[in-house]
Amino acid sequence: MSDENIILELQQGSESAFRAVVEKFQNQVYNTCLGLLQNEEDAEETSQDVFIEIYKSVKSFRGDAKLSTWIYRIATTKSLELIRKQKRKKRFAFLQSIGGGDYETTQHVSFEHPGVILENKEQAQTLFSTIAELPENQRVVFTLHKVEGLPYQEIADVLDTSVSSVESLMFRARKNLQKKLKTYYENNFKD
Amino acid sequence: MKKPIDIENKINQTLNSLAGLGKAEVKPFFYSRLEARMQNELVGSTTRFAIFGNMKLNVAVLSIFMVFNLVTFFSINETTEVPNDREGQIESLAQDYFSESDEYEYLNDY
Repeated sequence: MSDENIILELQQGSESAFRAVVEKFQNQVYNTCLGLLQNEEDAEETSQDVFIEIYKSVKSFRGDAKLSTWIYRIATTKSLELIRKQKRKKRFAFLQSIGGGDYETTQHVSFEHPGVILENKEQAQTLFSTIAELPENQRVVFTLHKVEGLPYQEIADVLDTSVSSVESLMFRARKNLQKKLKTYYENNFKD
Repeated sequence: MKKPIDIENKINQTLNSLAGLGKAEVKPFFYSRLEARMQNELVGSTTRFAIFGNMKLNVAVLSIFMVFNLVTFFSINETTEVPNDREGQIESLAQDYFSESDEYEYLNDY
């Protein structure tokens, strides 16, 4: 079934069209969410949020972008919403601790992406930890390109920006990662 | 301290550690879990608010409120007896504000 037909049937409330969309895009959505959130439970729940959002808002989809672009956009947005919510919770807990409340200092848990080659496992964990420290826009671009494998043009479409902006963000992300990794290895591998 | 070139190599290896990365896949029966959640969330919210969409119930509740208001209105009017003639109205007003009885006599003690 072509994307146009799927969208038409979805807009008419067809359950089989919705199921077709879920089965076609579930792994792409999940892999994107997992790359951004670095947690399997969060990625599963956010992936469900994405498809629920698709179901609710397909009637307002004008078709000015590809179906996949629209779906990646929702996946990115939902993932960022969760990241921001988690950061707010941490900040609030910290402020409460100043007032005498309990504050659990949970460090970033090491994330193992299931698709990493075995020999790269340890370095990939270090890389994902460092990616999590990047500014949002750099984190998104780097993840969509390196984890989901999207080309720059598609990333630009997803983020509704230009290819040159994407290139610039990738460049800055790499520079930032190099700087942070240098500090990490200098501090952790002293003779 | 490690030689700078070793750290540079380490950094490059780390940056390239996602080469050949396989795509993660959803756990089995993802659609079933999604379907169950949607039924719970979307249908659940509909039934929760369905009570307000019941027209007969809305009309019945509104009627009860109107009857209650009318009963209150008429009962207030019945307790207030206002004389029809002008002299009687002046007498009534004078009695309200300038009572001849000594029920307020105790105030003179202060």
